[in-house]
Amino acid sequence: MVKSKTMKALIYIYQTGYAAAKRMATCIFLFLIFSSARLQAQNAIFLTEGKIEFEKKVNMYALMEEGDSWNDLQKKTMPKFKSTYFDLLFTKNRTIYQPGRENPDNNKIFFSENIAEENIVYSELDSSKSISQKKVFEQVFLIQDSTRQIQWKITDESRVIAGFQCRRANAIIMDSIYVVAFYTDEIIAPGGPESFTGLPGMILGVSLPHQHVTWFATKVSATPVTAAQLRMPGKGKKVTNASLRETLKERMKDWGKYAQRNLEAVSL
Amino acid sequence: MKKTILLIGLLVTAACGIAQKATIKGIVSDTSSKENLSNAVVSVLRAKDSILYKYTRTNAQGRFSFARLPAGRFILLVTYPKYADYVEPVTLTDSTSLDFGKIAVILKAKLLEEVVVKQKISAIRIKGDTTEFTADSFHVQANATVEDLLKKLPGIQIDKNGKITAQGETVQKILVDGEEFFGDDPTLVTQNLRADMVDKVQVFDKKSDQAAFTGIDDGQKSKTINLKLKDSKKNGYFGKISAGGGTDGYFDNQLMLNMFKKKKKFSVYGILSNTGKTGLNWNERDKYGESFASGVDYDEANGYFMFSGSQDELDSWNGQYNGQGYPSVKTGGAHYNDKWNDDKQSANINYKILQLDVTGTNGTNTQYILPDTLYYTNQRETFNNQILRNRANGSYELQIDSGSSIKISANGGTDHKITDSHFITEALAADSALVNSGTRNISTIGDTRTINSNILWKKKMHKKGRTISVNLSENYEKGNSDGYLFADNEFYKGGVTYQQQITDQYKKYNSEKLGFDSKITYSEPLSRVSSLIVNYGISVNNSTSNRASFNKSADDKYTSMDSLYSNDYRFNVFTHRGGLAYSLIKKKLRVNLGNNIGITSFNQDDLVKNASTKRNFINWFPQASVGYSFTQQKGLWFRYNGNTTQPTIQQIQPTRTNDDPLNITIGNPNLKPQFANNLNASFNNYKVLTETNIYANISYQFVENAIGSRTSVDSNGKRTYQSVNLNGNKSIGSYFGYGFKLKKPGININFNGQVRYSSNQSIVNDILNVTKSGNYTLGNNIYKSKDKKYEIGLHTSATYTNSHSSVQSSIKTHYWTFNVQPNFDVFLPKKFQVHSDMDANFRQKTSAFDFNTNVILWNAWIGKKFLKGDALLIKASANDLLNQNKGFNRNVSSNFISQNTYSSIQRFFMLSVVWNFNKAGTPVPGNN
Repeated sequence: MVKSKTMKALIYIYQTGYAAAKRMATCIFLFLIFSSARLQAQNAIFLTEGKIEFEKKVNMYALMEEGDSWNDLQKKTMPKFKSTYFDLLFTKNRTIYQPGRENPDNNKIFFSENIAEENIVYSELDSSKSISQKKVFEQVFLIQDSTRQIQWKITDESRVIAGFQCRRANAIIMDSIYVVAFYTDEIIAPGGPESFTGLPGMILGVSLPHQHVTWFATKVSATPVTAAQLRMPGKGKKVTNASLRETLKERMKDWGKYAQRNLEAVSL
Repeated sequence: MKKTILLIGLLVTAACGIAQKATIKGIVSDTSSKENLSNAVVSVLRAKDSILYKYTRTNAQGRFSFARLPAGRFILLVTYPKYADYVEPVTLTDSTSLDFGKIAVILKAKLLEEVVVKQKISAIRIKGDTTEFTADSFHVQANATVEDLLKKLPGIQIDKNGKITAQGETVQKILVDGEEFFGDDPTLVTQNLRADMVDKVQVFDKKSDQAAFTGIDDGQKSKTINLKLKDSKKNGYFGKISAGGGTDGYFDNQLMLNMFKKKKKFSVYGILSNTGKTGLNWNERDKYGESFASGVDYDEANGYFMFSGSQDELDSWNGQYNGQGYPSVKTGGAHYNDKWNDDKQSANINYKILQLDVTGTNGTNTQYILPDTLYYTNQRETFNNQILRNRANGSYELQIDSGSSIKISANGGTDHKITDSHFITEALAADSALVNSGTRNISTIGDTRTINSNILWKKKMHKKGRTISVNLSENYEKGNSDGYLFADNEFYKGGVTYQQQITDQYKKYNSEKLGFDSKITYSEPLSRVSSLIVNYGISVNNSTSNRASFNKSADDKYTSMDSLYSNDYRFNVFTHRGGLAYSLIKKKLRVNLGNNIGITSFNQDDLVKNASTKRNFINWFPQASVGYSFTQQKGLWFRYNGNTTQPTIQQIQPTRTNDDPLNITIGNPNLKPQFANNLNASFNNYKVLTETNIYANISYQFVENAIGSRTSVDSNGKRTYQSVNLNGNKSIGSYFGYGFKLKKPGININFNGQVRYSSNQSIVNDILNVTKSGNYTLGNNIYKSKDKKYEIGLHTSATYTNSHSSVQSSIKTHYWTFNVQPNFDVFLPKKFQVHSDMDANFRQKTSAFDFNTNVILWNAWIGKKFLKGDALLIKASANDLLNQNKGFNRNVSSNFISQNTYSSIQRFFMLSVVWNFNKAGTPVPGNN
């Protein structure tokens, strides 16, 4: 029992989806490497840099009204949940969130809304600075602003995400969007996917239950992160969050309820 | 949000400014080893709502400190991986300086050793591994939360921290209709999931995502609760009644009603109208009938849509009559659909009856361009047609399991048609001398019956992307008609009658078509983005056509069969068809390549002459497409396909048809299938935010063995026509559109251009003729609207048409047509609305047709809305204010250049009342 706990603490890598045998082999291998190190049963290892893969899942059906034949037809062309992948690279106080591996299942979706799928969000957590590059339809915007200030409500609930014990926190952002986040104190950087930051550790899971969107880490690896990898995005029309919202509101004024959805998705 | 932060900021700063600030410090260490712990998170939460106020991490020595804390009640929370939380309430005043000294935290493992967990298992097992509870059978208070409900269910416990255990195991996930449910925080969210929205609670062991993805059970399971919500739709109804009466006997009355009860939908409609309305339009079909969407299938392997469904040529997108003359309609229909068993089964039934009477007149002027001369014919028709149509269709779909489904559909109907036409004709020579003149009456009564059915079975195999489907279909059509032809034609030479021809016949026509088609399709993934699709099928198409013409015998009865115009023929086509296709679907690139081969045999039997012929053909069905999407809204496509068209029995039946004795059609039993090659390239770029769009396409078609015509016109102006295979027909078409929005005044502007050019072969009096014709259009659209204020638009276009035939290249036809369509809607105060639309057509006269065919069709109405939700509309409308309307067609693509004008509804005024009523159900809960 103690041995396996030690291993767990020593092993930087945890990857869901590995076959059990493969995982075991990796464990033994890493154990052999680290067994020479001094065993510190109680002292945890804190990750200060690495890479997290997030799976963003959108419930496509929830956004469509029931009982409409055209919606029923659309539903046949797409899975209920659309998954896209993002990588979050982090050091102690810098993070960059950017598109990750491609999901070939999405290529077949006929009526695909790709909003926010090419977002790159760079955050300097110590100075609360954020630069994000977002493609909204044909236009690329470069948003230079401070990181989002979120009033997090800490709870007692916890769950394991990608091998990390995470604690739940709730919040309301943008006046009305309910956010459920899970963060781990085993990763020092107080970052997270998109603009979700400000918890005492890394956010490995976010859900917007009423928007039917979740981001959950599927893989955390303690690979070294170079300064070159953490390069600020630089493409696009320079805006702030407020001015972008104004621009989009103006352009989407005749769009009805889709405008609200698009605005929300862009503004996260 | 921003304001709140600012406010808190100000308050904090204010507090800081006035008073000395509170400080907290301490050291975090392990209880047993006494070692100090670095990187432990120390958080300060607001006591009243647990909102995180500040946090820090301990340094290498395990120390932490907070300076500048405001006065108030807080909670100090210390966390460290695998250690139990340390929680301490603190009350700070302006001068508090708290030193916790050593905070000892304890390993969770140690805590657990002291607690023994024991739980009782009690479960009700139904549905295999799933335990299901019906929520309503457990009484909870109004507005109770889901947690309250779960607490009542046997075998489920919830502890004070909200941790749920089911059947002794911790529940890892709660799903709502398959999506994870996190539980709403009532202090943050008002929109909570209430217990009374839940229909069923299912407890089961969820396989790991890995197992669900690969289909290989890795044995990893987690206890999961799924909350199935109640059907959101309640019972209700909505509908529309509209009544309109006008001048000159015009009326338009409509009734539409839709009732729904959960997922059952039942609707009926009835229309009595002589203003052109003959059925439901696109929108109305979604509400009151079978939606156009139900006739669309999605091909998952290739990623495209297929439009199918029952065809009815009297159905149009706008529900309006598009033909010639004055239509008067009585029609009604009913629609029913339902889904049950978790939407795994669905059914859809429709019935429609229609009685349509059309009367009118129609004038056709034709210029025949012949190798050595010209002819002109003028024909005037008066017609009175009636049709009684019954149509029924239905479909049933069963989702057998998550991977396979079966769909059975059928449709059938009857048509009873009565047609009656009277013609007056004349033919003139190039020098305007009369060649022939005549009158002709045709009256026919006919019945058509159709029954079609289809079964489609689809299965997705274990391996992702591996699918198999089997499709079987049957088509049957039987037609019987009989009627009388009376034609009296006189032929002139030098202004004097030298011959008269009278045709007085009774005609019977029976036809039958029966087809069976089977197709099996298998798709095998080659990689995650590509697959190979194999298909094979056989089809049988058997048709018979029995044409009989009878002349009057001595007893004045139509008993003497005219063998020249009578025949009994059977045409059976048997086809093996199979092929391969490759499909590649990447994020930006889509490629589809394939070829089918068809081995077709024709069995042709002349049942009168007892002569049989058998012919075999090999037909190819190649296709290729390559698409590249630069972005979501910008893409380039290239497509090629080759398609084969089989001749119809009417084209090959070796008999003469003399429905017009001046225009005899002869069947050609040696007709071969036609093969057309189509090439197409298109580009589109749509800029959503700036509302700019560009669309361009170009297509080219060349045809082998084109089914064309051989005609000969004799010196009496009699024309004989036969379908023959010709080589070398080609056509090219191109469209270009560019639209943008002028930002400042908010005007949408669109320019478009179109080119159509074709080169068609025909044989005219045994000489090969090539007719080259072109059609070139430039158009423009301008549109501006202000929501609930006005909408105004202007569409203009100019078209140049030219044509010449090689048999007489000196004769050139060319003319301009101009179209102008201004329209506006103005929303006035007191719920008044004024509408006007105009469609002005100016057609240049040609040398052949030198009379005025310009029409300015102007419609307008004024209306006022009443009642709550604008449910009632009273409207006064005017159709064709200038009383100029007439139908118009010109055809210049062969050596017969013709112009057709026909009667259309002209000026009338109408007063109508439209009432929309409803008792709608409550909106979908949980959805926004």
